[in-house]
Amino acid sequence: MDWAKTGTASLNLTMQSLTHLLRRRLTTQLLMMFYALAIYKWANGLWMYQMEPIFFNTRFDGTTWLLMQTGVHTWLLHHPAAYGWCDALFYGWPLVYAALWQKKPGSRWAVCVVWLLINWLYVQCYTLYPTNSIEAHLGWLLLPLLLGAQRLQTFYFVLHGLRYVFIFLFFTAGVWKLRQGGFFNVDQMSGILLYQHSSWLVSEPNHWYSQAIYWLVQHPVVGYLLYAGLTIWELVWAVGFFTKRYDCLLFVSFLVFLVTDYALMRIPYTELLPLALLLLFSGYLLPKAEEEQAIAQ
Amino acid sequence: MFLKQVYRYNKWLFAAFVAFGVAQLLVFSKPGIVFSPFYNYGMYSGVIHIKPVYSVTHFEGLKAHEYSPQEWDKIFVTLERYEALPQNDSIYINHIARLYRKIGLSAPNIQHFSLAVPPHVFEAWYSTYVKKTVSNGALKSSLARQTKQYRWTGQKLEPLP
Repeated sequence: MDWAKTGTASLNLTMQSLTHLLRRRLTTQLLMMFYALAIYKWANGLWMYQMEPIFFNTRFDGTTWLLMQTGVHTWLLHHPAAYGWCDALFYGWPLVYAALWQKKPGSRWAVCVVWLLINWLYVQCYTLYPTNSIEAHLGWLLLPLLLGAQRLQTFYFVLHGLRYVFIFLFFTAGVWKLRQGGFFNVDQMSGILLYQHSSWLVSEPNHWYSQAIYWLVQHPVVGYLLYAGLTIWELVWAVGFFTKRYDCLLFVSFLVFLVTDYALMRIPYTELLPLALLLLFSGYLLPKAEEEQAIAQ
Repeated sequence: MFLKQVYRYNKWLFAAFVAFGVAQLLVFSKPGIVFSPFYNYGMYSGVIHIKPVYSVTHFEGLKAHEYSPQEWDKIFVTLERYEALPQNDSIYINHIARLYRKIGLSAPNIQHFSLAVPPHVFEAWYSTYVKKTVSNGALKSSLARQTKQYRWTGQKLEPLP
């Protein structure tokens, strides 16, 4: 068995091609993840109708400027009743996709074009309001492109294209730390922790969490080792450009990062989970055209 | 090679992939403005030193451990974003309007890029907004917000008199 060629699929000890069944499995998992995150956001009061924002912050994003020119985000501010409709569309449309997935596979592409439009409008407006950064929502901006693929081979190629996007994200996060100089500053983590947690530390100075943060700030070398370790881990993602062999390890390390970052920095990167999931499906081989037809029949 | 496989499969898909990659590399190579969905992931990559004094907002009686990071951000990031509102004007004047004029277009409607929310309007909305997030019933009726200067002593953050 050549582990280098089979990638994550090698966990099953098979050199299996991507099949419709596997595609269905990935699609189901993505949709389940979408709704798990939707419930999580609802429980934290993060749906648009729960927040009812009254202002927006312009950001340095050329695409966003084009959208802002339409005034859709200001229209919403003046019509707060529409927030609920936006949520209904954003959180409801995947159900339309799921319902038509089997019954009308030919409509998959059209459904996903609408889905893409809904996601772009929603995510752009949502992140203009005081909520979250747009970068975290990258998955929902791009995944309809994958789920709309009519042919299995197209699905395979888009899956791998998005996998490269995800790898690029982490690798360049590491490069930025070198480029901007954070990696070369021993005080970096201490400075970050005080900036990130100042309101927490002031609110509960004697809580064990505050004491732990203070301890890290007081020991800058330990904090720096964490920061440097993170940078090196991010740079290691470059391996994904050359081989799929370690995708499973990258996925597991991403989960560790998710938990650690949540605990130490209180930054939830959960919205990136759907893109990470693609790493578990990258090891399957490109289906041949004739196989695709045979399976479809 | 992946791109070679894509090229053999579908030239349009290949062109789309190449265009996507080139756009992402351009955004990466020129820091500053981005174009969704091409971003730069440089959070906390710039040099950050410990500051001698921090200006910190907090609510009397609010216990941080009772809130999820998202709820905590809802309370505090919203304030930061409101304080950053004047930047909307600066981005519009110095970047958006200038860019439009540079490419021979008239500047877009400023109301779509900049918004004035008077403090009393914000305070009325924010008070309701925070109360929806705050779980402690007793606190809801008496939320007192304070912004103070805190000195880093080398051990902890200590309020300045």
